[in-house]
Amino acid sequence: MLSLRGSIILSACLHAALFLALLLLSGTGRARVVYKPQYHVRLVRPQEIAAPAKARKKKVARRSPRPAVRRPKPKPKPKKVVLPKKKTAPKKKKTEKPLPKKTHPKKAVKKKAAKKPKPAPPPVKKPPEPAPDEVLAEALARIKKKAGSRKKEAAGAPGEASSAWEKKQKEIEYKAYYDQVERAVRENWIPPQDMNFEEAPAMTVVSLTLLPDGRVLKSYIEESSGNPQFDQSVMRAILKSTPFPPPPIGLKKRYFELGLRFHSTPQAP
Amino acid sequence: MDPSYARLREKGKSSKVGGTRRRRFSLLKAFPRWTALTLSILCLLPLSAFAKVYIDIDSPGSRRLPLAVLTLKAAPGGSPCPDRQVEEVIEKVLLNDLDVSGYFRTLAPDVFLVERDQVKFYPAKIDYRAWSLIGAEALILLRTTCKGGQIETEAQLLDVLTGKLLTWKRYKSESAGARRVAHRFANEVTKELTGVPGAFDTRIAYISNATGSKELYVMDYDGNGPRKLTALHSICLSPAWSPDGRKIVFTSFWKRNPALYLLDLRGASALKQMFPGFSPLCSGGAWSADGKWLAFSASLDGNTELFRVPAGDGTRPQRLTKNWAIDVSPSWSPDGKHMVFVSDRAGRPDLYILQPDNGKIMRLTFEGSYNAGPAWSPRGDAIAYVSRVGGAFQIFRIRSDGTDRRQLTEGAGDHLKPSWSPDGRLIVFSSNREGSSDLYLMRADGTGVRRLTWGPGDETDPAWSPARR
Repeated sequence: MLSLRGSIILSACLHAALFLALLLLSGTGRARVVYKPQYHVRLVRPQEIAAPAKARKKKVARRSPRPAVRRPKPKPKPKKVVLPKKKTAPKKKKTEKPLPKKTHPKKAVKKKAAKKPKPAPPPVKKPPEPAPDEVLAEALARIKKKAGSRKKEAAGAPGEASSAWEKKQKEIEYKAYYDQVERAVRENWIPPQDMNFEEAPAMTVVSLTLLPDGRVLKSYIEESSGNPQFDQSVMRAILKSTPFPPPPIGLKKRYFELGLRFHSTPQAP
Repeated sequence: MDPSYARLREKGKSSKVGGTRRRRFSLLKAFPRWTALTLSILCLLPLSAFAKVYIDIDSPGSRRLPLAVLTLKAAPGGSPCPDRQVEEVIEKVLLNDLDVSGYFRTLAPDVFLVERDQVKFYPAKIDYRAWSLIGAEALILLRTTCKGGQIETEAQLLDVLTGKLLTWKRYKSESAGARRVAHRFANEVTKELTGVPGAFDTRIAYISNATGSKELYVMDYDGNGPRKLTALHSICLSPAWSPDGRKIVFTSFWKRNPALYLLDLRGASALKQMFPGFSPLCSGGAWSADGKWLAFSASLDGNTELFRVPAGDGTRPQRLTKNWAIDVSPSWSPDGKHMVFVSDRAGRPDLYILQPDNGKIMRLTFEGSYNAGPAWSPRGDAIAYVSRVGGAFQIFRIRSDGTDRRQLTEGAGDHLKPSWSPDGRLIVFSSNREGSSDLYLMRADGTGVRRLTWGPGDETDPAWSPARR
């Protein structure tokens, strides 16, 4: 019995070791994802459209009554009205954290927070002047209500579809970024002329590590074309393109790795 | 009893029996599950963390490299040139060479952000930002010092973006050799930035009737310094350079019948007729690139055929073609294994390719009513020739396999006698597009046409010299 178990454990350990080895090897080999600039048309099912559309509608619906509520705000105390809003902004986040999907609402909150100062209450001279605490209470109630409605909205939206949509959205964002980089670098690239590229096409692969603001942390030739002039022209293009457009990475990542493959002759699609 | 239920019961029983043991091994049992889980998570990690996206960037096509040329004042120790003439000549010639090549866009000095006196000749002391701001990718610094009749020119080519010194050359010459200094540095710059040296330090031999008779001349490739080489008061035609650039063979009617004459440019020996008595009619000499053979056309029995002769002793020419038609204008491929020539064996003049070693012949051109004057590119990739288009001759190029036929010149007038620069990038030809026949230069793709000769006579039959060693 024991020996059998022992052998099972041993086999498990061996498997694990093998697995780890494979893992490490794959890590060094680096999975290559080749990106070619292309245009994407997203085909969506009606439900998918319905979900974001609902969200949009609600936003619009909410926005419209807001100025109406604000209008009666007292003219001499605009600061007080604004202040509680700012304070409550983090509150909103707190209330939303337990929501099933995290990133989406956060973004929405951010946007809203940014937008808030925009429709700043125009100085309206309307007589009913409620007391400051009344205003505060009203504002709080309003925010609570808002949060509640958002909760409902989030719960109502089909979670899976929205996350897929988000994923797609992210993908599109990245693709747009790659297109941007491709255009910027190509614009700056002056490949050497008069080389017999038709018969001996050259390709140089450059590895880039970008900082979130688009500056180049590190760049090196990962694969030389074997043609020093061609490689030089490629490095000149990189230098001229610095800083790059800021990569669409979140705040969590400190850098962004990217490979550029320079082709002397156009690639077959 | 339901079998599955029985199995369930069995399982339950065994678990109860081995209760203690189960606890002991639960961790071990759980272990593989956890490892599997962690491993699968780890396995997914590389996809997200290590997957690097590769963006494909295709070449944006031919673009000219922006380049700035600046002449600095003389070195601190040396004496400056009495006037700036020499410096100016060097800069002007260099700028012209770079422009002719078509690879560079030289920036006008009025966009420079620094004065020439502020710039030091040392790569480490150059403010590269001042140059990259105006869009320059390369910077050439020149500095010429005069010592008696001698000039010493230093020239640097710098990569503005990386701050790297690409080349640094020093030339000593007579002040009359200033143009050659510039040509040689232009060759160097072309080599650094394109990988293949330029052929700016070369000459063109041609025929001109400026004195009333067609004589042989030679000039720099850019049209500077024409010099008359013969005074035969006859008709000279079709010059061809030996691969070492020391001799020119040409056809002349000096002694009534057309014959080949050899001119030694070092002037050691006088003009020499080649294989006298071999044929009453010799013409169109062409040296193979290795200098071993001289091909020409000659008539022995009233019909013109191709011959070749070992260049060392020109005694026993070897017959290459045997046909009732006229075979003329041979031109060697760079490897010396093929030869393109003109023949009317199909009823009209067309180009054919001959393998001199085995006599195999292949027709090259099928289009056009009159194809002649072939010149095989020193790169081997193309053959330039003349073809009649609507009554006027235009220059074409075609690959040696008959594909990629392209017209290079257009417009009124005849365009004749193309000859390649030794680097295969430029073509010189004669044209009467502006009235009298003159020599013109263009790039191998037909762009950048510029006139070279401006004299009163007719200039024809250009032949580009090999590169100087």
